[in-house]
Amino acid sequence: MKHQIQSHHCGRYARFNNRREFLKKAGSGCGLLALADLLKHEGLLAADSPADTPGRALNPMAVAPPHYPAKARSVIWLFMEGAPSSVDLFDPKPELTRRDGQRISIDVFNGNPGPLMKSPFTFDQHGQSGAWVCEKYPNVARHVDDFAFIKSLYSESNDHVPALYQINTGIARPGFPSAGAWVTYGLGSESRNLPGYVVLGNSSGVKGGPLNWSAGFLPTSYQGTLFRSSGAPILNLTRPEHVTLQDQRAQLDFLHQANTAHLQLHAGEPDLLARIQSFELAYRMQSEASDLTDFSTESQQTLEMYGLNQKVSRNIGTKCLMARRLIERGVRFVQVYSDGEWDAHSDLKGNHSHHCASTDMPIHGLLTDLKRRGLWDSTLVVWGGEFGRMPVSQGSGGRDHNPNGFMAWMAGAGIRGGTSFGETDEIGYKAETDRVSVHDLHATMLHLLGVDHKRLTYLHNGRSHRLTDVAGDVIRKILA
Amino acid sequence: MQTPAPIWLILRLGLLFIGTSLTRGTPEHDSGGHWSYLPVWSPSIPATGDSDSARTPVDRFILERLRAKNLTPTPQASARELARRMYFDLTGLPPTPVQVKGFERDFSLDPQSAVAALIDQLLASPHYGERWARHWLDVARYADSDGQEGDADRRTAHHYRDFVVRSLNTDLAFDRFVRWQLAGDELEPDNPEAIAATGFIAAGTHAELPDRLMEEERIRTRFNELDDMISTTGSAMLALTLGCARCHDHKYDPVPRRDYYRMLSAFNGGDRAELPLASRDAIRRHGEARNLWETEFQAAQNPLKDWIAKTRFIHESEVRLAKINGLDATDTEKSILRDTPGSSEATDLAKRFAKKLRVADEDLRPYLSEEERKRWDTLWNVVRQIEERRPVPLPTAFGFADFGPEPRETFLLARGDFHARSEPVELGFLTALTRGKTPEDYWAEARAASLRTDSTQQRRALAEWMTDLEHGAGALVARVIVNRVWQHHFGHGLVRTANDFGTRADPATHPDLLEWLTSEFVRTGWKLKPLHRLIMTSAVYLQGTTFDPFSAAVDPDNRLLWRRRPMRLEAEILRDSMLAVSGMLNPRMFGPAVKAPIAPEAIQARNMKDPYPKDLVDTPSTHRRSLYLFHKRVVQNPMLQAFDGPDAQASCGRRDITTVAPQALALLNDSFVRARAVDFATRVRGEAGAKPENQIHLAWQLALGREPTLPELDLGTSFLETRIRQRTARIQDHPAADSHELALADFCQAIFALNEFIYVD
Repeated sequence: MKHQIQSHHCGRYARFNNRREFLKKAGSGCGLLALADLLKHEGLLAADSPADTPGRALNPMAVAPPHYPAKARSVIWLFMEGAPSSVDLFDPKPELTRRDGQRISIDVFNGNPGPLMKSPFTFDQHGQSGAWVCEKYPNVARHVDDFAFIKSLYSESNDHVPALYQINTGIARPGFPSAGAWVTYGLGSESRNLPGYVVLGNSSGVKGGPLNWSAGFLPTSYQGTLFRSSGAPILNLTRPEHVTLQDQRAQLDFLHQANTAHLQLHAGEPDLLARIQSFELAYRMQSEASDLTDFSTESQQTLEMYGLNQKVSRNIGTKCLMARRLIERGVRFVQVYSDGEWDAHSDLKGNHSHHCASTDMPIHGLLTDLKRRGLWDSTLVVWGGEFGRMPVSQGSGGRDHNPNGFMAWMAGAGIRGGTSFGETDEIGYKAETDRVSVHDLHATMLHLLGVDHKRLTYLHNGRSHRLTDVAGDVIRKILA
Repeated sequence: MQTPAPIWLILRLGLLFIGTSLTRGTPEHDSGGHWSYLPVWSPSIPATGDSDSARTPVDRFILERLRAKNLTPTPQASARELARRMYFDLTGLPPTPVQVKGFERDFSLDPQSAVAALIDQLLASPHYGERWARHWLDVARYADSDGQEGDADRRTAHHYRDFVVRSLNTDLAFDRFVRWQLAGDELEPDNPEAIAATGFIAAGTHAELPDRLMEEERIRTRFNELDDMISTTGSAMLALTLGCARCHDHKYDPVPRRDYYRMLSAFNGGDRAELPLASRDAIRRHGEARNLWETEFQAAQNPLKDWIAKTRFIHESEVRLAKINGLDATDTEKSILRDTPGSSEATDLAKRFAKKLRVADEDLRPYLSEEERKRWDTLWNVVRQIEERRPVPLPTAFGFADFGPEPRETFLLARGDFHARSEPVELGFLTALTRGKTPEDYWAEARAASLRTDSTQQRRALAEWMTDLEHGAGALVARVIVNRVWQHHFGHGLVRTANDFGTRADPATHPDLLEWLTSEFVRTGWKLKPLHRLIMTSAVYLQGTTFDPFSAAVDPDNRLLWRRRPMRLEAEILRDSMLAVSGMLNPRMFGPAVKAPIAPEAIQARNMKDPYPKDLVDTPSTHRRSLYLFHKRVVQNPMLQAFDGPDAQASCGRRDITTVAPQALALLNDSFVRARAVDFATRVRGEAGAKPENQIHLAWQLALGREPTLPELDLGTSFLETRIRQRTARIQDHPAADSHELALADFCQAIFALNEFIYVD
């Protein structure tokens, strides 16, 4: 549906795409304006859709105004793929320690559950807030007063891929638009020469693949673009063999002239103009995207702060630094996938020790750097995985999947630091107090970006869809 | 979704609508139902227009609405434009220069008959089925792998794709085409095409979960997959969103939750399966032949086995002794093994050297007499000869089959939650689309006419209801496909929401035209080729693209069709065109899907059952039409994806048409594009010689179907000259002799990127 991207709200009278059209079609009789306002107030008539933003016809990423003043301008989502264990990182459970070795009746994904298993790690309280953090996260622990913990998340599926789809798109099935796609559809991106939604993937690939950053039924312009952290960051950035910049510039000049002549014979076709511009943008992207991976402008101290000097943290450190460089350039939404998986079916101690070591300095570096560069107040940082892990053991010292209770934390723009919301039961199995759904998490992210999750809609196959489906409550208690 | 409006607001809005809603000639009806749910009726053809402006009745409906707004249609496009338009529309390939010239000549003599003749010729081309199959495969969310985490390859899924191509080429009546996809195995159990058609139900994503996994997860997956089957059937055939009713009664369309679960019963009776592509008689005969063969094989094997056993008895100890002696062990150990075989030490040693001490049949051979060896060979040859006659397994297709004659119990679920079972339900359809006949009637008829005893006949009942014009959903099914055909000829359907004909559908721009076309379509036996002919011989289809600011002021979106708008080639057609123009298109039809090279860095998923190979090379066998490319769900071809190819996760009724920089990057840097540009250059040089002017002429004709203008010729010449000069100056890059060829490749690649190449007037 391209340049006049038709967006629709979910009202009864969807044949009007927006308020303007409604008024135009309804005529200008006395009282109609008042009625339209009333309808809007009643939530029956959505505000003008992002698709109506000036400039969107030529640039699908043209910046669109939020519904209300935004706290955050951009998002960095530190995605801990494979599902880290809450009770072993930030949410110690004394009762679990006390009942270590006890058998309970419990159903687990891979069957054959072991007894309750205490954490192999020790915990300390940190900061003014006194938040508990495990011994393996010493540098992350320095920032707990900036965190709002959400310790009562739950989702549907016990299996990685549906769970990944759910945490990314709200729905535990493939084919729906990801949060990043919704955000860039709703708000556009300030970066002219880079994609608005960038994914810094897992070097061994992410389970479920690109559907995790899919545009679903939104126009494909909003899908996440996967960046690699070394070499050419995106696909088709390297020129073919025997073709130099000079050759390509000549091709572009030729194209420009021939296409302009063609355009003159095709008045009333904005797509043709957009296409001419897209070649120039592509040309600029080639140099801009290559600049991104050039860290020579960063100080040695910065590189070390991100853990780039240590082998264990170099991969994530590079991605975290890239994330900062991306949002600095106006990119709206960045996901940083951890490398490998936190999927500790056996030897949780070894697995989590490694993943903590690989993320500890990079996260510390990123948070410190954001503050230092004045990006802290405009950036929302989210940390979490696709679900959590069981309080009982599996195999030798592992834990199976647990979607019934897990955690995330948020920090940065609009977040009340040093807070914690929600709780699981005393052994960390099920979210019990102030349960938070994935939709709630998404609603809160959108809210911080100035977007009302109920008003960001898109009509597809006869149904008006939202990131939050038919649910979602903003977690007000963690907002600054 | 938001809560429905309070009733007082609806009433107030209702008042507001009087006098402002679109006037629409709907038939007399007593139900007050939504237009798309009504039986087909036949609107009268408006009297507007003369024989020149109104070539077909279609034009009279168009002209009526244009006249009402004081708009006039745009004059007919040129013969060249029409040739390109018709070739791309019907075959998805550019016309050759000879084909363009031939049509121009015919057109200059008699435009109308030239157009009609070309349409007939193109509809008879095998490429027609390939072109239009892609449209239906979008709707059917067809792909060649499971998707989800495993994403296992579906090596036999292509039979469904081939069924679609063949059905279009033979113009299988569309109602039959629909019925076969829902129940071909029940309707025509002896027809391989009908059996392959059930691939429609199976084509959605599938998560293969091992039995050891928790039952809850497996049930959840099963219901998600059943939902995919129902939702796709709803979107593809009825253009209705049935998925909503999984959790609650549909908010806008009359789809109660009960209807959803009653329809679910039809699919709940079966699952995906590998189905033999043969008549039941042939399957029976094949089974018999196989049994016969097995018996013969066993019979021949027994003497061999017995003989070997006997021979082993004679020679084994001898062989074993030699093996013991040859062991890498101490002499003491060897003697224990040799002399006290029953002792516990010997048992332990035997275990330790088990592998080395095992006496295989072949190990006996050196110890046999000449006579014994001959005997062995004779017996072995008998077995081998029979083995060579092993019956070849029947080909199978990835489709859908019932578990057996008894339906599975299906329950009404609250909020779509499979924990919340309420009452059991039986097969049913959409109540709002069922008149004067009950689902029970359909099912009873299906069972009475049943041709097989191993299925429930529920899908057959569903299929009969689906295409029943009088009592079932036939009228809607016909309207939906007519609208889809229109959409692919004009860029938009008469109803723009091609996958939604519910109460919130985009209102038809020409409701009477849609209805009239539908009535013609069903009157003439649900055939698509006559429908194409009717649409494409109309003046509205043959219009030029000239823009007119006055008309645009009245109808900026061209909804009334006062002109033609250029249409962008779909991803697959762009790729096919590059292959055709460069002379590299491999025209082979049908068969297993082809894995073309994908840049390793674009393969970004893991834990796949059949990982996409990273070492594929670009060869003629990968130069097939894009329709035949292997669609690996988790590793979509990046170029097709960049140009808005659908991801095959759900039914896609109309593709987005986005214009983004990654598309430009692909045309500038993708290795496939560059390789075809090099081929194109080789072809141009071979056919036009070394003179730049001739090269430009030929390249223009091949790619754009026309001669270059003088400024274009100048532009091309100066481009080539500069590129040759600069490339020659960079002699260190490559041999100087290549400068000409590389410069021409630069030029040919730029042609692939021209707006005129990808937008068809």
